[in-house]
Amino acid sequence: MQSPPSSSRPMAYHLKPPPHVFILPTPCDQNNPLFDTLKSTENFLLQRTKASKSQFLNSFLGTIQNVFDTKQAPFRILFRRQIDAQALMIGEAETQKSIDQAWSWVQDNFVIGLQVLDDPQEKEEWVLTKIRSLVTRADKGTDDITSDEKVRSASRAFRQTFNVLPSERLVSYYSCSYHGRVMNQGWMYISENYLCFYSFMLGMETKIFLELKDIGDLQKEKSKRGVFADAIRVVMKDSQEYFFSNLFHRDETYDMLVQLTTLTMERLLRNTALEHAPGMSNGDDGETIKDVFSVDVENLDGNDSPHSPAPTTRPLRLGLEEQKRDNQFQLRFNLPTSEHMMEDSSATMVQGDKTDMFHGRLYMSESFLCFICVEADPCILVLPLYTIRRVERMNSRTAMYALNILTWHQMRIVFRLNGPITQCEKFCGTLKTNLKLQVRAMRSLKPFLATCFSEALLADRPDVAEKDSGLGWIFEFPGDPKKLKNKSKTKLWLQYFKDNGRNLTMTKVATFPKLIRVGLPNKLRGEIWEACSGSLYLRSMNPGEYTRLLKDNEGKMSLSLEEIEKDLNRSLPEYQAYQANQGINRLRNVLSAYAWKNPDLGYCQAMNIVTSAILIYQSEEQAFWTLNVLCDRLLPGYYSTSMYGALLDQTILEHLLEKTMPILSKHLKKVDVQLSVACLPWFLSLFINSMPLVYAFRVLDCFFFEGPKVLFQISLAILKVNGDELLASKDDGAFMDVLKKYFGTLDDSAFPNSTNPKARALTKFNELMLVAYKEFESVTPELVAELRRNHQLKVVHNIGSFTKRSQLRNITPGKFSKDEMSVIYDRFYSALFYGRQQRGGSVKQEARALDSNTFVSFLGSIAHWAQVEDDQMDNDDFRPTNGSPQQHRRRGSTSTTSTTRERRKIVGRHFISRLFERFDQNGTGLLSLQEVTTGLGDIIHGDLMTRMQLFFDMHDLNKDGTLSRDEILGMSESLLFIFRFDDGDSYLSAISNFIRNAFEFAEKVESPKKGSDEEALIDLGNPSEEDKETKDDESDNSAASERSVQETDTTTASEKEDTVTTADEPEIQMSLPSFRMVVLADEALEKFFDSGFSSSFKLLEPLDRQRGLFAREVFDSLLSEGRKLAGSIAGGIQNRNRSAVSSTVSKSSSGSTSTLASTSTSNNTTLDTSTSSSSADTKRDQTNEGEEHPNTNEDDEDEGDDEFFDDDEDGEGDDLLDEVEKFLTEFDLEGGAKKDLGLTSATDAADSP
Amino acid sequence: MSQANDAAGPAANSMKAVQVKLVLLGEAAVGKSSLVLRFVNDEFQENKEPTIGAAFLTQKCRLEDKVIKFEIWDTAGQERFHSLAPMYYRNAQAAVVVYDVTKASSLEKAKSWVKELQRQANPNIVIALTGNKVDLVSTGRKGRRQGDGEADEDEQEDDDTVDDDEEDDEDYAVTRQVATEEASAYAQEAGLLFFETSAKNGLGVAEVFTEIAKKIPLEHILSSSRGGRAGGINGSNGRVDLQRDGANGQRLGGQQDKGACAC
Repeated sequence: MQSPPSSSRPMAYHLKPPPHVFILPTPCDQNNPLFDTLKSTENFLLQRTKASKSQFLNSFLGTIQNVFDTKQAPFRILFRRQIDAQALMIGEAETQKSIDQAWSWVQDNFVIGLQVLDDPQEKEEWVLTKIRSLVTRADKGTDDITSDEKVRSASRAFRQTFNVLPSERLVSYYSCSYHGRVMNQGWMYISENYLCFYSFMLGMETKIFLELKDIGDLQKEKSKRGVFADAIRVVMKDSQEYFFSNLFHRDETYDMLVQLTTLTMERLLRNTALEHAPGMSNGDDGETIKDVFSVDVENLDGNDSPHSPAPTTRPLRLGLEEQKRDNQFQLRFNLPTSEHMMEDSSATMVQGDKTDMFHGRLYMSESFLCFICVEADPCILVLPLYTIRRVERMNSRTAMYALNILTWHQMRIVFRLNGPITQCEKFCGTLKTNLKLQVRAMRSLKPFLATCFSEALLADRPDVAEKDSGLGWIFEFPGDPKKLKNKSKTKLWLQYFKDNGRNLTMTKVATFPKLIRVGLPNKLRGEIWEACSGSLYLRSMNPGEYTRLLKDNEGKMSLSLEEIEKDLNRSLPEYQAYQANQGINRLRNVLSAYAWKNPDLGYCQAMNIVTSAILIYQSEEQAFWTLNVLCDRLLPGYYSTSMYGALLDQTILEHLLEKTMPILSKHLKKVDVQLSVACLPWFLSLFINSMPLVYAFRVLDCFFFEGPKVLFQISLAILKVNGDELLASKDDGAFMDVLKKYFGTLDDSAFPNSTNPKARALTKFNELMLVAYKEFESVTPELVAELRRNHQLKVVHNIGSFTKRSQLRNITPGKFSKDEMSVIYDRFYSALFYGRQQRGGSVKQEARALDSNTFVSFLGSIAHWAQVEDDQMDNDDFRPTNGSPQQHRRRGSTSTTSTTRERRKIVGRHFISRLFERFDQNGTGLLSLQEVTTGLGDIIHGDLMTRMQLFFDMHDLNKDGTLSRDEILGMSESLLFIFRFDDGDSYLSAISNFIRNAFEFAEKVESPKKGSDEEALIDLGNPSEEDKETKDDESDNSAASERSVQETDTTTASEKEDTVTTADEPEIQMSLPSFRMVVLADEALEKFFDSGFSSSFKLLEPLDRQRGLFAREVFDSLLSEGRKLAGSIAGGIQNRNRSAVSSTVSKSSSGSTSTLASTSTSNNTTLDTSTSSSSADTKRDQTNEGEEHPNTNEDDEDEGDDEFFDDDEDGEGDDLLDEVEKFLTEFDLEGGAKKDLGLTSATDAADSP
Repeated sequence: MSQANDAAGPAANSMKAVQVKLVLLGEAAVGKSSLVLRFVNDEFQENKEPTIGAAFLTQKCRLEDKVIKFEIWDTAGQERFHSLAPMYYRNAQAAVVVYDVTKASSLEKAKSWVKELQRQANPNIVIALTGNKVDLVSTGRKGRRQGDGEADEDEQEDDDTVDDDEEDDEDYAVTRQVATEEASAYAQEAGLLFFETSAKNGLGVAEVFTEIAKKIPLEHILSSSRGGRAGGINGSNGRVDLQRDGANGQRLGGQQDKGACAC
């Protein structure tokens, strides 16, 4: 739009096309029988559906369209191609207004340009390029530009049906029915943040709009009649339920919702955490966290169709599916999160010279080859590509395609790929590319392997340098090595390494779990933990990161570091190493390095215990990476600031207990014992301070290999073994005692009275492991994962409500009720929640406070008028500076994109930003919940006087205690902004009264340049001429562009007017008392300050989110109307000031409750009599106004306006002088009244210099 | 951590013993566990492992003709464990809120605990405010309140002392940051018992528990069916307090944590 062809009507030229109308050009039939052509030019057609004309047809077609998702917008613009008969649809819209705007934009921008071009091909190209660039720029990041046309149209329907931010992306949509009072067939839209439903059945519209963050539970259900498993029940936080059925892809829908709610929960947790980023250095001011959606947005080179060479976005849904698949892939093979599944193929593996063949699947990611075989003889191989020395393609007789791989350890592995040859070729191609990228990693392999004890063991020199091994090498390992059969276990492992590879290249075959379960030998324990948990890969792929973290943050302090310091002496204090500096230092290093790496988590008590235990077997660096895997993958959310993971797993444990041991579960409920009081510490510290160390390490062995399900199995087994005694315990005290005693006896024989010596040798720990694996076999990783998914929403919401309660406890609520505080809290965090997403997830240390942007959305969520349209988030325009709106205005006028809409936005934002500054008592630029509460309380629970004061102060930009001319205008603009959604137009007259009265009541400052006020008045009269002119101009314009012309014109007019104003010295000043009088002079304004403004904040009643489209349309005209009025009145002062004054006086004398009025009563009675003669006029004027203003909104506004401005025009000479004279006499009277009231002190002072 | 031997079996002496559930709350490393350990075993460990979740100990003590069995829940102090606390203080008849006299911030935390207890816990709960670690401050300087500017410095110093004071206890005299009068005035205002203790030398520890025992309406507990639950007005309430909407004292509807699995 930057290179416009010259237009015949520059005033009407649309600088900005309407949003969301233009789409990527899509071929369509221009002779569609369902469409009427409204307008046409040589190249373009404007069409409307026939449906929109007839009510019946509309309802009927609407239903059909709704059911079949063929819903088309009623208006569309087509580009007539000259190459063939087919047309290209370039825009569509729901309303006549927006399509008209688009149409005129098209006319302005294309018609002339197209005349220049001759070649139809060229024409088409030019138009299409332009439209595409427009669409991709305007709707960047939305699905409107997705390559999938279906998603695009659904996205458009979604956006137009529901009032969401333009940045909101639709993920997927499904046909389904909603069970309200009746069953409604319609469409479910799932976007990043919302779950929506829309149906339109025979004229009845059903709209459901749910925030994903408020979903409390999701359940798969059978449909109401119980036949088909095709329904989903959604339970909201507030227990409201929604039932959707007829979902053809129920499971897919469910999974999608679960995935999205999970992502939402993660963000929510970050949002409501009790403390923020405790691990952040005290000096750091910010840190950017990964946006959960960032992985999804990838620009594909959309060369798939000749009509869409513009960059397109892949449907978000695909991105989410990929993300999910990658997550599963990473979990299955314990891979770092940087790995993505790139290729997979069915394959057969043969190792070395062995004859065993494993049939399974081979996967490839950026740096790994992963093979899994789940048959009778299971095996898993995770082979880092950087350990591969050579790959050969074998031309064997049997296999079509085989890869012969030689590893670093001289081990030969053969993969036979089963599949079409092309697929195998592709697989190999990717492998080749990936291998090339691994060269650097290959170089660091040798030093890395030197830190692996298995290498030393195989080289028969088990004497690794002390620095790179666990504390156990120096301070001895816990337990008696003989009793632990350390030697024979080591021997078994040696053999295993020889057969199946070691460390990075080890294949886990059937004997592997057995070797793990008997307990690991001391010196190998650390390394095998690494190999099992996958931390080995992290360590080998990130050499040096650990030392770097420590070095980079040396000398810095953080809350976490202080917490760590407190606990260093309190971690396994009975182990020798931790009574010496060596152990303490290592512990400090590992814990601080982790706190620096993950400042959001920082440090949690229990991590010290786990880490100190790990450090016995692992070196610092090993322990650091193992801690990473623990916190991120194995125990997600356990040590986070909300500890939601730990709470979640406790809920799951309770659930499992109920399923597996219902009697015990019932008993515990009966005697009111909470399972978690005993079990939570087990999970948090991995049994390390519950069981004797030797046994805790045995549990750890299994845990690192098999994951968190082991914790459940062992916990359940403990409860089972002690079942009888637990059933006898009557309170939590007894319950705890039973368990504590049991842990003390793990060493004892399980069957001391048995005659069989073998049975006698079995310890209680052996028994425990047996029970855990035999009786609780059903607790699989999959089950745990599923249960976590099912329970997470509830747990997160419980944490949320707990956080809310404890935060609200510390807030001074003022006069707000509990319920109101609850709403304020919710809105506050909601604004933060969505605000953070908008800004790409930037988290600051003071993240629990609103900045100026989130404050706008916060205010918008409780007050209708504060909903500033955010078509494009042009935040540059809005900064909480002290600059006047005029500055913004002038900036706007110089830039070419100034429109009324933007101007209104600036006024609104400016008003809100001043409110922000007012709320921000300590001037930090951020609002805490307390500040917001206090600020709102002042407004809502203040009285008429305080609110007037508030407005006065807010608009007194230079803080001189008076309002200048500009400031008064600013005030009126703010009022217009606030009133803009009000029905009717009584407010317009109120504001015009306000301006009139304001200039009248304001004290004139003698300007050296001006001879008299009169002169100034005449001088100011000029802009009204402008207005008149533009109005004439306007009436000439075509209906289609009228609205926009008007907008443009009024903007220009008001800008001119501004220039006039600001060119002069400020010649009026209004003090607070006169402001009060002006307000009290007008019933509507008085009402507004008395109750209207405070009641505009809706805390308990729901705020109407879905503003009608109509309201938006009339708004534009209302605003321009209002501004025109303001401009003209401000310019040619008061052709009807008489009425204004009289109404003021009668108002104040009528004795409102204000103190001002009560003191002035005596004086005003005299005034009243003097002006009583004009009261009849006043009435007439007022009724006139009432009649005139509705007209101004209609087409025949000329008439009304002309009448209105007639006085101005004709009476500029004598009439005006007459008026002014009258005005002045009254003003004198008025001034006298003021003097009597003793209100002049401020103005006198201002006058004197 | 061992405990009083006779406290283990619920059958032993239970005819006479009145069970009192007591919970310890307070900022991390103010000495909650040490206080309990002193009371229960009359011993002191320089480096006590931090409490994870909560530790449970029991101790009997004799008051006039009655035997009182304290069931003590010693909770974790770190801020993030806060959300677990309701699990432990529900049904408690007594609470000891501990702060560190050498650390002003710990009193603030204690105040917020008191606030929470008074709103969320058993309404008849007896709360004792206890300033611990008085052994660290020399009596001569007692009562001097430090300015805020110095607070950070003192915290550092304090940390060092805690770490090292096994070796050079005498060399360090840590500045007191919470004046006795200040805390006592607050306690009086909030209706709390007030003590200053030293878990290290045992000063005032037993007193805390006996005074609490005196203040608890033992008769009331005895007369009810289950001693340990008597004061628990909330006893019939939800299991995990997290799930109770504290503002209204209602359960969140439909949020049963049991059997809601969709599998």
